[in-house]
Amino acid sequence: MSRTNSAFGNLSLAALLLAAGIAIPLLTQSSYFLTVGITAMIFTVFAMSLNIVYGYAGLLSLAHVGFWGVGAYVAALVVTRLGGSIWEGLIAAAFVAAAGGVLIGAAALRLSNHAFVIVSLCFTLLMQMLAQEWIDVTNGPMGIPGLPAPSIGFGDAVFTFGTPTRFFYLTLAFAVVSLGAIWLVVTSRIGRTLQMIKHDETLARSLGVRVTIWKLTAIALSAIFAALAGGLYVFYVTIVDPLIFDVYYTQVILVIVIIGGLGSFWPLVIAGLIITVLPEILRTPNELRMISYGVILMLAVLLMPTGIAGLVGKLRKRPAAAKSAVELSS
Amino acid sequence: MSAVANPAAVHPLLRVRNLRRSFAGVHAVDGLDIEVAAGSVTGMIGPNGCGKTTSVNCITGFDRSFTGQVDMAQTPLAGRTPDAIARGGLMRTFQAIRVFDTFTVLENVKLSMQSFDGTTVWQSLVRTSWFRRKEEEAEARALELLELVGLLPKAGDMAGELSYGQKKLLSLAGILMSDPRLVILDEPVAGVNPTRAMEIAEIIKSVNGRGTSFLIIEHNIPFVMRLCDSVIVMDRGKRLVQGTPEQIRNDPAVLEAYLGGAANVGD
Amino acid sequence: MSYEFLLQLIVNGIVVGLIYGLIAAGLALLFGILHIVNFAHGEMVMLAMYAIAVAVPLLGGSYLLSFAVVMVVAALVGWVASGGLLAVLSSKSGQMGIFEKSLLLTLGLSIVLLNGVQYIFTATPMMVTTDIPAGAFTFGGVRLSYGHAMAGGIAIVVFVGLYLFLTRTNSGRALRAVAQNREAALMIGLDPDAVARRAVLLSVVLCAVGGAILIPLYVFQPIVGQALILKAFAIVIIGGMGNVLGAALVALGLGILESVVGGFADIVWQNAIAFIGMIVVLLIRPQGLFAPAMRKG
Repeated sequence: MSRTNSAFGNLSLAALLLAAGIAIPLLTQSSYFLTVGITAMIFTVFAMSLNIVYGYAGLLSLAHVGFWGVGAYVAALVVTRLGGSIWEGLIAAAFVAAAGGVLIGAAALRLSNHAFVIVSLCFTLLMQMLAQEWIDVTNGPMGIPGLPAPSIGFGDAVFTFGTPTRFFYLTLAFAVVSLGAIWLVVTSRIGRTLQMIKHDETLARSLGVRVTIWKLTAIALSAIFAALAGGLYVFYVTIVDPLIFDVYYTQVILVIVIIGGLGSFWPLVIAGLIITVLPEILRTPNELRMISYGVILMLAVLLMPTGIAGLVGKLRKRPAAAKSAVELSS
Repeated sequence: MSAVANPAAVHPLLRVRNLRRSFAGVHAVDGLDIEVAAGSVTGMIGPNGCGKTTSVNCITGFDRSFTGQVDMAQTPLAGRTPDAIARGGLMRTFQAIRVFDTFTVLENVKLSMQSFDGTTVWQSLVRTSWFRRKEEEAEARALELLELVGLLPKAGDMAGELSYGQKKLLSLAGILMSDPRLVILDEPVAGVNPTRAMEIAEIIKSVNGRGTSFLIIEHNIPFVMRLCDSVIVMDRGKRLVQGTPEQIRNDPAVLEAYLGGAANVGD
Repeated sequence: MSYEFLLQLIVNGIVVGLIYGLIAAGLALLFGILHIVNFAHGEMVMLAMYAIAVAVPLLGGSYLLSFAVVMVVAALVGWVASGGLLAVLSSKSGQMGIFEKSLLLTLGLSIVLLNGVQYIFTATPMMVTTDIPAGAFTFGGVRLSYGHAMAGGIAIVVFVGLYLFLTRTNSGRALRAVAQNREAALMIGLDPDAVARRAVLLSVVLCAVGGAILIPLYVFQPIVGQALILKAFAIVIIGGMGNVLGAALVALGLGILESVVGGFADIVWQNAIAFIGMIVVLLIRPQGLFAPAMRKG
């Protein structure tokens, strides 16, 4: 199942986006546009993490926003309550999310697919409820404001990512590293195994695949990246509150994943960037924006469930004879 | 090839004792005792609904709500997960043919090897040279098997585009990748034209010659009679009789089970 | 802690539980017959509430009239929606199964409905004044407002009707047959599409009733559907997905438990019960407390 598997193709696309990313803060000083860019990159990583578990492993997990929010709170708490740095906070967030993912997965995977989805949703809602009610820890609906800008220190020299421009580059680095890692994973045997599971779990089992363990791996991996994205996000907006669990986020990443194409890579990245940037450019009021996301989601499911990637795939239908055995290794 | 009537050889490769499985009061499998001798091609026939596929699902771990003993090479299989049983050398096909539609034919075969080549996740991620060598070996072996089943020209096609019969060949090639000890084929020639059926029989004989044992569930009695050296006849969830094709052909109980006497069994 | 206080809590809880039951029963019905998950379920209840809120002033404050009108509208909408739904679900596009498709579609729909209503009516909490008399029944130290009594009464009537429908009528039996074994139902000549449409219609009407009887009792706002659906999902999971009777019983139990706990402990725990119950059931008996077939009677 080789899509854009040529090393050249991938590298050039990555280089292009990276160049664009580096160029943007040089072209604009407007903190508004930089914010849009930061949000776009973070949401793209967030959506890509959902892609791991939904697009590749085939598990529609609505727990995703739960991990994003948990990551956000853990990172915030590590910094504000335990006096750690944001880096420690992010690492802690990743760990907690991975552990949570494994626990939820272990419990929920035993259920039918249907029940799994609902349970995953309830996880997110449970986390939201905890954030709202466990005031001692999370400060309830007021949230935890005043999150400091990330900084790195080497001895006396401390570099703070305090300006939008600096945070933009930080986020760019984060996106490059995260997406790069995810790319490595999904194009490897891991990705293929997950796809086997998605397409035919029974067949995969009959070929010796430890399906449950792989599913747990997918869940844990996606939870980690969701949590990291969430952690970084709240440090940019400098506050975390229960709204981080809002269904808005579920909506947005689902739209990105479905429009980009489940199980695709670059189409999803492009979709992620466009879908987060476009509403900002159009400046629609909040409810209308939400309604359009809802409508887009429904239309996408009805008309293009395979996303852009699927449409592109149909356009360049591969002539069977052209693919020789040699070309297929990756 | 074993010519023993009842392969109650000291250590049969697969041994099933008193397998029982009921669905809502219906005894689909009702005390099944069968044996598959190592190195044999054993057939399993029986009227519709006599519990053949249910037994296979129980033996291979896809259905774990049964009672009874299932041992392969004296290791108990009962209670193990289907993937563990596959990794232990017992492979199976499905009645409703299954392939990975969105992968190519060659990829399908290579995928069947992934859990068997001893590579770890880390190696596959970092793509060490040892890993890459394993991938090359897998590719070579896959091409070999595709040639054996006659699908080599289709190696680059999407598996979803294959015909029914070709998909059957593909899944056969896939499960042979891991060099299993025992292969259970669930209706390998159902819905397949006679020429293709003969091809499949040849493939099975050839692979059997290299040491793989087969248990073939089939409705196509002439096919089974010509190919297998031992035949198990099931009826109503139990083994009616097990013996050579000759013995089965003339067994009165078998003839009766098939309701029609001698005319139905044999050629 | 007086006996009367506990009794009061229980009585309140029964009313709430009955309402939960109507909503959860609709969800279980959809899952049991169509194998779809309806994320817009809570919004359907919310829409009924707003419909009544709009109708009551137009109909001179008459609750009964508004109720009737909204029921008719709900039935119509349900019928139309069921046709559309089936058309959409049966189109074989791509690899997405019916369950997944329905989930994503209803998720999108729920956001559209929620934000649509919020756009039109704003998020401000509202209250409807109807012609339901303000007093209450009192018996043995327990006070049951007329509004609550009416809500409970209607709910009971609807449940009895549902029960009779499912057990005594051919349509109802057809519904149960399809839920239990679709292939067998096909073989004996039942039309699964017609059955499916009836299930959707029934579900919509149950939601409408739930919303309608809820509205005179509490303040409401667009987001109210989200809280309700959460409880409904928990109830359906605890009872066993697809099991209508199970859902009803669990709903009743939850209503009572929530009320009692709320009376003695922090309100936080009241909301947590549904979750805790769900988690416990999932750990101990994942298929739900009642066997996973739709059995009523």
